[in-house]
Amino acid sequence: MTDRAPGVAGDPPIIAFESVTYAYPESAAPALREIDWRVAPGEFVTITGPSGSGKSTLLRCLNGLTPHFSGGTFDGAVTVAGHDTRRYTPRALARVTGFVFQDPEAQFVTSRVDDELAFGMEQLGVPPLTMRKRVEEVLDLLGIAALRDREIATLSGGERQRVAVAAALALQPEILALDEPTSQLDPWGAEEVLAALTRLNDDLGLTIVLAEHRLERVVSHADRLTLLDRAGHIASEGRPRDVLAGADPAILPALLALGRQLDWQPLPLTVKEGRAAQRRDAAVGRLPAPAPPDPPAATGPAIVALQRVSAGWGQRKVLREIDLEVRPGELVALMGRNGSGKTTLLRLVAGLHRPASGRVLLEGADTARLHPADIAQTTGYLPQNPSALFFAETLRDELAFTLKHKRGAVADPEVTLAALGLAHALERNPRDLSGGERERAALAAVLVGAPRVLLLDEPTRGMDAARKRALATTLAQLREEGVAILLATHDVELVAEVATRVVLIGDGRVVADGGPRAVLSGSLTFATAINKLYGGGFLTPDDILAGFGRDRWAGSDSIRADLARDDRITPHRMR
Amino acid sequence: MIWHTVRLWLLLSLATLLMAILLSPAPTRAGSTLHHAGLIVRDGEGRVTYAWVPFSEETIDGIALLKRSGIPVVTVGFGALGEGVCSIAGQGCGAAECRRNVCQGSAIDAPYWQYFKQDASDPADWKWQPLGASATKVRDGDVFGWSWTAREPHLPGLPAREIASLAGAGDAAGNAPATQTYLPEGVSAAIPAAPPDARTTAIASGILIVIAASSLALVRRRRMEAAA
Amino acid sequence: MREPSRPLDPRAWLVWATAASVPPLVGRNPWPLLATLCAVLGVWGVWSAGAAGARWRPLLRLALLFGAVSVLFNLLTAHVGDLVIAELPEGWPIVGGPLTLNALIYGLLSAIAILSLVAVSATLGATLDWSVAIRLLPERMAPLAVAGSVAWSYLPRTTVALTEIREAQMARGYRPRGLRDAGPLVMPLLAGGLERAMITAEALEARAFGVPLSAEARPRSWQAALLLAGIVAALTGIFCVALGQMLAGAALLALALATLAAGLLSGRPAKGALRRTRYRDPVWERPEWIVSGVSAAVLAVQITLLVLDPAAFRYEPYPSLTAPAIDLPLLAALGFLLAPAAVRP
Repeated sequence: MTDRAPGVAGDPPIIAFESVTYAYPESAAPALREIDWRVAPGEFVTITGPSGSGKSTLLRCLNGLTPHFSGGTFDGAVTVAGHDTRRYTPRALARVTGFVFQDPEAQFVTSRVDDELAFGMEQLGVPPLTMRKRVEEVLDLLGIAALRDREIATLSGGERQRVAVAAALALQPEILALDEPTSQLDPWGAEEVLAALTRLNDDLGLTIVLAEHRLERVVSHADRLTLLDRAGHIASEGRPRDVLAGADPAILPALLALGRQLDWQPLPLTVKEGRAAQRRDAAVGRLPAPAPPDPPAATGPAIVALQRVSAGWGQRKVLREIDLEVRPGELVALMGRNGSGKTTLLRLVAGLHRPASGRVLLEGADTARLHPADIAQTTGYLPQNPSALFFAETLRDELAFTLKHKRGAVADPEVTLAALGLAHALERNPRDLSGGERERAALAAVLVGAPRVLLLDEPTRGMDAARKRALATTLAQLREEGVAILLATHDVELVAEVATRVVLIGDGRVVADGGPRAVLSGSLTFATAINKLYGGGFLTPDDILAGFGRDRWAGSDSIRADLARDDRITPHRMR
Repeated sequence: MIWHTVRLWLLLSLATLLMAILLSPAPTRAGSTLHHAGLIVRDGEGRVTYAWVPFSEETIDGIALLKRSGIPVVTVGFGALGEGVCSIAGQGCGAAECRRNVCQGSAIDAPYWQYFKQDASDPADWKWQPLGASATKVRDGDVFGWSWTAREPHLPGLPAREIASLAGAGDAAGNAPATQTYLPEGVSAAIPAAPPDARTTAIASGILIVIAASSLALVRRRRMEAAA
Repeated sequence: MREPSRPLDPRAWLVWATAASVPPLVGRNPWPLLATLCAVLGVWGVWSAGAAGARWRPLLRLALLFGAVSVLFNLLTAHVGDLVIAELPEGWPIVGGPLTLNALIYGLLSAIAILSLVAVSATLGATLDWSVAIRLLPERMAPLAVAGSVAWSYLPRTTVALTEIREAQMARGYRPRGLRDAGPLVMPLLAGGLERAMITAEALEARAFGVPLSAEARPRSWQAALLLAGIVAALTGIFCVALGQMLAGAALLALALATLAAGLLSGRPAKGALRRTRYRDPVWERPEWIVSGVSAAVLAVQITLLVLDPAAFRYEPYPSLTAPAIDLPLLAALGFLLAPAAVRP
């Protein structure tokens, strides 16, 4: 039973929304509708919902950024710790609500860790002695004392986000609001941040409001889950277990999805609870048939080949003597910690990074002799920050740009956009799209060139569950058409679903290379939640259901129906 | 497309220019009759130099007259505006400062080298030449003057024949330039600063070597520390 | 085993930089120029280790290039001097005429001056702790200080963004060819910069930046009048100096200084009122005393010489090449510009 005790009921709420309806300037549809919502002091609340459901907007109400900063029309009232946000500006509310933004990069205003922590206190005129004491306290609270004198630019993503949390905490706020603080982090970095938050909530009784769509990461930490729908309403609310028991299967993480399918009671929120349920099943002889082995490895000539490739930055070697071949129709997942060289490997294939030794062959030609623009005739590369890609006024021009520089076969732009659920955005400025739409628009700009090799760097960062499954469908489709795909990701569930081969990179070397079942099963760090329960070759809920002789997970169909209704994605032929 | 056209045009113009330069006729020597012009230079302390300069061409410009007199001159080119005179006989400034302000100080009445022409009919009448020396034509018998002044020329009103004799040209029709400087009461001839002696130079070089060596030693010490 | 080094206080660096910038700024005498260059390069060599140094090294390379260009430009365009080494046809525009050794030497001296100044800037860039420097600004300028600090932390991010954009475009088959293709690069850079600026503005707002603290914010009308008078006096004074009316100019400038000081320093916030505070106290220990003291002494020698014997700094290789003046005390003093290299804390 890890449902955490709800906040102290009966206390006057520390946050109170009274029929709040809010619309951004020049937007007809409200982002939030008739929100009545309360949070008790000391509660840990997670807000979730699909992209564009108003999670960030709701969070921004907590310190008055909405509507003081964003403008627009605001009805109703928000009270935080007794302050009506209509009468206090965000800077005045800084002492009440600490705020942590999604992008750890953009929210820093100084270049050193301790300066960053002291910044808010300097603004508020906290006496230097108190200030130094509090800096030490928050450094210890978040376990980042060793980072005190470091330049922020040299920190890892998880460290940066913990510094951002510490900076917000230094003002000793009563509420901490975090906007998808782990969406840019690898699983380890995310765990660091969430563990720190749980400790703050447990030890200090800090009220925490967290917007997040990666439920598998946060449900076990939250007291309460608030689910928003696309229209900006609160769809449901309550203990995470109760909310998820009735929620749309599309948003469920794998473990909960399986639990729902197998009617586990209570619904497991953690692997530990899942294991208990699985043991109960096993005790009554309810065991799935063994999972099928990985399909045989692809054969035939390789389209991408790395031969004893070493690469790095100056003296620092990132990749050492890598040998790797990728064949048409393969989807190779590159996995490993941040900084293990996944991105460098993709950049090598795209010709954006030159090997220090060894050769990178693309369709048999040495890429060292080709300009990246020539390599791009065969490859499509989606970098981590897709916004860097956009420079046209409309999405149509953006796609036309790729087509203009492409020789040979290309895809129809309108078909490509429709396939990615962006038909409605053809004439819109790509920079005006929402986060998830941008990611897909960037993918469209790459796919329209009909690449034979697709290089994807963390394409699911910031994507909600439905979008992720839609991407998986698209990738499977492309693979069937013979496109070779290299996918660098931390997302084991996605890999389990789409990869035909998994390559683990550690310390710049290939440490494992094989089918997903062979590589991911039993791995301490890369096993999926399902594999942790059942072992063997089981990776996804569908594997287990098939083992029980049942149909695929109902969620899959639900998503397809949902997306088809939305005209977001339909199986298609790209060419 | 437009860019290509522009580039083509640039190339063509450059080629034409080159051709024009290479094919232009060499300057022809003028007739054998020798012409002469007078020159008076007066510096800020009142030293006056007279010069009598022969030239074979029909006309020359004022800068050529000044340079052919043999008086030390520094000039800088100002493109199509011609050449500016920076210093004459050591008075004035170097080329770098000259490019900025033709050696005139920042005050509104600061002196600089001003250029005048003597009226042939009235030697005491000096006319300021606003277009500068590059733009004036010097003909046989003309007299020009340079004065380091803010406004008034302060140049002596002497006829050409007398200038020739003051310059020391025994024969006014001679074929070599003649110059002579006259000092007013109490003013010495301008003496260039003595160059530093060998001992001073040796000590200065020693100081430089010490600075460079300590600099190198400190950097090496730092490198070794870093390596350790 | 020495203690790990800490940065010197920015004020000490600024005194040093001022002293080291005088010779290349006021003249072209090769003796003080060379002495300064040797000392400055030594300080750069000692302080430029690490990532910060690596960031500024390209600037020095650029200065070398500029130096070479300045030598060539001077040689080809200043047809002045008594030692002609070659001759280009008179008819050639601009470059036509005699090429002189005098011009070559003047170009070289200019190159040394440029290199010294750039080495001083690079040393400052690599060693100055900007967050400390910005905190040293008077409290009244706090918003300006924060703007400066934010801008400073933006620089490296913009460089990263530029690389990202260029690569993302090449990966789509685009081959940038020179300046006319800057458009597709500038657009996303600006748009991305604006987006980041919006987030930073939100972050500043959310972290109490600009919260009104006390009555200090609103100047009284007589203070405003004093400031206005001061500014007018300063401008008029500068104008007078430019026209050579030194006495009137100096008087006006002194008046301006007094009025501005009175306007800025009067009306301190009321006792007990809330004021912005500083987290980090600047460290000022023996190395700072030595560097700033020695640099101030060098500066004093330089100023004295500028008044008594300006020829010690100046040199003109035109119209004839002469031996430059030597001032031994000046040269010896310039050697002490090595102080920051010697006392690295």
